[in-house]
Amino acid sequence: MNQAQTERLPLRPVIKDVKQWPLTKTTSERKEFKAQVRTRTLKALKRNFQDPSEFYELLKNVIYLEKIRLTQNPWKTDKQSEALFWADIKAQMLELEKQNNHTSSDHLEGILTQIINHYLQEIFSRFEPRAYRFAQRILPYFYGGLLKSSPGRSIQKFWRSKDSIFDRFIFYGDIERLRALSSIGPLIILPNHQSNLDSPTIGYGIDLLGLPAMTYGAGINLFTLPWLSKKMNQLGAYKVDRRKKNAIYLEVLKSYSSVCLARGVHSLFFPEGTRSRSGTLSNKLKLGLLGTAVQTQKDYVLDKGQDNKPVIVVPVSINYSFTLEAESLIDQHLKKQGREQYIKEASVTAASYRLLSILFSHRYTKPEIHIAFGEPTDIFGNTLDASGRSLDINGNHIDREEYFRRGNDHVHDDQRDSVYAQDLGQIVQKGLHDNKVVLSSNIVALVAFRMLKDSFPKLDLYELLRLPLEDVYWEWDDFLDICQRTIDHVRIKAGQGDCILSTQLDQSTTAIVSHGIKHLGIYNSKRALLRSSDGKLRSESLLLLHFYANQMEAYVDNV
Amino acid sequence: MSTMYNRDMGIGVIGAGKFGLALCNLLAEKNPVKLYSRRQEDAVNFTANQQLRDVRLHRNVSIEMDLEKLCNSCEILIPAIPSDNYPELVETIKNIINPGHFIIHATKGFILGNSHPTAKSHRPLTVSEYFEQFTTVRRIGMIAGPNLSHEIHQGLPAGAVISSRFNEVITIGKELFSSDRFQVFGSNDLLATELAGILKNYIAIGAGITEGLELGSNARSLYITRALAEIIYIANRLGVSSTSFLGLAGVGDLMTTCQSPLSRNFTVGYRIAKGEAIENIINDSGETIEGIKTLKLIHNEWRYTSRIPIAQVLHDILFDQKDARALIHIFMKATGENDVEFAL
Repeated sequence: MNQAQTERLPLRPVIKDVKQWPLTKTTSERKEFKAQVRTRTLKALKRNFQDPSEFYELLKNVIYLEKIRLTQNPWKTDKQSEALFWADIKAQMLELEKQNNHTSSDHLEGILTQIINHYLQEIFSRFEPRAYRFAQRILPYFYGGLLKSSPGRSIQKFWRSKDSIFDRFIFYGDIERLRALSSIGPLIILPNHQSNLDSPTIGYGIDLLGLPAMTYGAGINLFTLPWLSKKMNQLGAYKVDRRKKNAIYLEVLKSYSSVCLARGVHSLFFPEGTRSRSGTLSNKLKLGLLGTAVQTQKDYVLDKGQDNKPVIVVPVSINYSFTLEAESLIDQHLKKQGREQYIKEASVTAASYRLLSILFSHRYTKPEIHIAFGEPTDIFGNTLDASGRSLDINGNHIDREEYFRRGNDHVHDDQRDSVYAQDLGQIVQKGLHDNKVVLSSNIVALVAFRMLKDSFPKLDLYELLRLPLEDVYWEWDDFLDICQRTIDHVRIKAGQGDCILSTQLDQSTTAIVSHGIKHLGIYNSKRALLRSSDGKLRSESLLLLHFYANQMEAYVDNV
Repeated sequence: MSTMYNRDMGIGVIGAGKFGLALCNLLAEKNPVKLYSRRQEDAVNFTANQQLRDVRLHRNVSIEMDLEKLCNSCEILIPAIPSDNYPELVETIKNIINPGHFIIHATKGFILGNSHPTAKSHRPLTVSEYFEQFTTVRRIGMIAGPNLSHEIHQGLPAGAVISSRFNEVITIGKELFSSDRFQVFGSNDLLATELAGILKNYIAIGAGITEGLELGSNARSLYITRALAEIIYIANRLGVSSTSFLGLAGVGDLMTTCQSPLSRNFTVGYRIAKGEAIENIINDSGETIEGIKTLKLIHNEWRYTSRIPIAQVLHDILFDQKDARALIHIFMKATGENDVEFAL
């Protein structure tokens, strides 16, 4: 079993004094920080747009794009002052043209700096230790409710409850090493993304493990509620606006995360970009931030002052037996994939009745969250030793400089970096795949859906999903039998490093299957699987069953 | 204009076969080159008269018998050895080469994935995949194209493609190899180039058979065209696009190897058609014949899952004593109605 030895959660913090956390320092030294971001952005842009006339075209283009965005795609979060800002910038540009100064790089740089500052103001996260401590106190109650357990040990004692949330967060991987490495180089935590719950879960998980807070990019569309938006910002979230695709904004964003990493701030980034709609792991990872990781490592190498720290990549797999928003996710997925072939399931039961039935059906459940940390590597996929040096597969030390060297020089080569980033994408993809923790609920969902497909071999997916529910049932003994075989299969797969067996699979098949059915998709308005009074297994929603089966699809061969 | 390559980097050619020597001479026109040979007698012969296997070597070529020293003194390594020898090569140099090295290989053959103790994949690997899996070298490329070593030694004009995911590898390769008599193109699709070079080998065996059976050039062209469709089909199955097969590494190389008696694979087919036994041919050659190896691998890997009639019949002719004339049936009795049925 790969379960981590986490004696008693929460673990002692790696850095005790919050003021010493790299993220806290970023806020207290924000003037310096912003200057660093500005310098780096300017440097990068100058490398790509060398000629003043190119620079001028770039600025004109950005102003144009921003105007389009403000008029054609306005969002609630857009500030009133934005239109004014861009009008002012435009006026300055016109003025330059009038004076025929538009090819003077000094003048253009002045305008560019204003734009960078404007973006930076919007993006910047102002981490607030007090807000963080507040969240530390609140989250146990939230997860206590969600996981049906007591929010802390003292309360646990008081109620004589058998378990606390600390027993419901189950970690896998070498946590001690991760903690040790966290003070050597910045960690880039790269989790899979299934649910809106992922951000708080990984944030809280990191805190339970005693690691300092991370910074993370959050879509600006999430910052609509003023109170929540402020809190998110104070907890380390910086704003990312998907609409802004112009070169300057993207460069500021890259520089922002790069400078954060360079200052040793750990970063959280969902490489899939968005929640998985189908339940499967996306095979097209976002290379943008991975590219920043490569460039930061290059900066470390080229700038000897940094003592050649490693940028540390950690794929993380978060696994729940339920996804709160599963119904809407799979609905969106099938709508996109199936078009007119897909007809939405009609809901028949009254909402109030459903709520009651949900509450009752979960009385005896003990939901858990399983988080597996992959092997921390450098950005080239090499393992790291205790002091942060890279090792090749034969155990030799690798000088990370070599990756950026050509002859006697270290040379900038953006194309090379992009290939390294692509490869890093592959490494992360594999890390996410291999660290999936197989839960009892994964097994039952997969087996049920595969059995269903096999018993209606002529139906395509959409026809299958439209089957009348009264025609769909599973004989208990058959089901158990196939579950047994699937579990054996998964054990072999886990032995080959293809996935991780959860602690839930440590029991007899019958126990695993009952546990799986009981916990699969709780909190969804319908049960994906349940045992009916006639002893057969039935489903209230094949859509949900399909979604949960997808999570496991890649791990069990078609046999 | 400043160049990417500077002489401090050093160029090392690994393998003193005919093609290795041809590459040495091409490279030596511009820069000093070190040549590694594992045959001890080569050192003596070379020092005596700057000549190996009847090939006169440029004065810029020097010989290095120690692989370790070669890797330490050269950052650009150019292995031109049979695919069978890679596991041994990598085992020897894996602790010496590092991510600062550049590799431009010239080997058109698969390496069995499980020929290395820590290998995970069972699909045969290309040379670049093999290096990526077992070493830390990342900047890898390949030189491929219609390059019969004999003609290069004669100084006749020729061209090649250097393929790598890294532009800097392509640029350096171009700088090193191109000359008035050698034109070099670039490509970013390394896997496609490697596969084109590998797959064309078994096709050449069939071309040799058409020659041996004296079927004429119409039939041979018919055969080559159908065969091209088959290897593109295999490449597509491996997730590689068809475009590179229209370039020098694909069609270009196919045209040369499928009609030149100088090509080793072609000769195999020719002699089979003339009734010689496969064992004799293999024994005579003394080296790996990549076409035969590729054919076996393709047959093993994909015979049940893919439509590969030509590989199937060639395999039967070579190893199951099927009459060489069976090849004619394949392209005469093909049921396909469309001429160009493979999607480009």
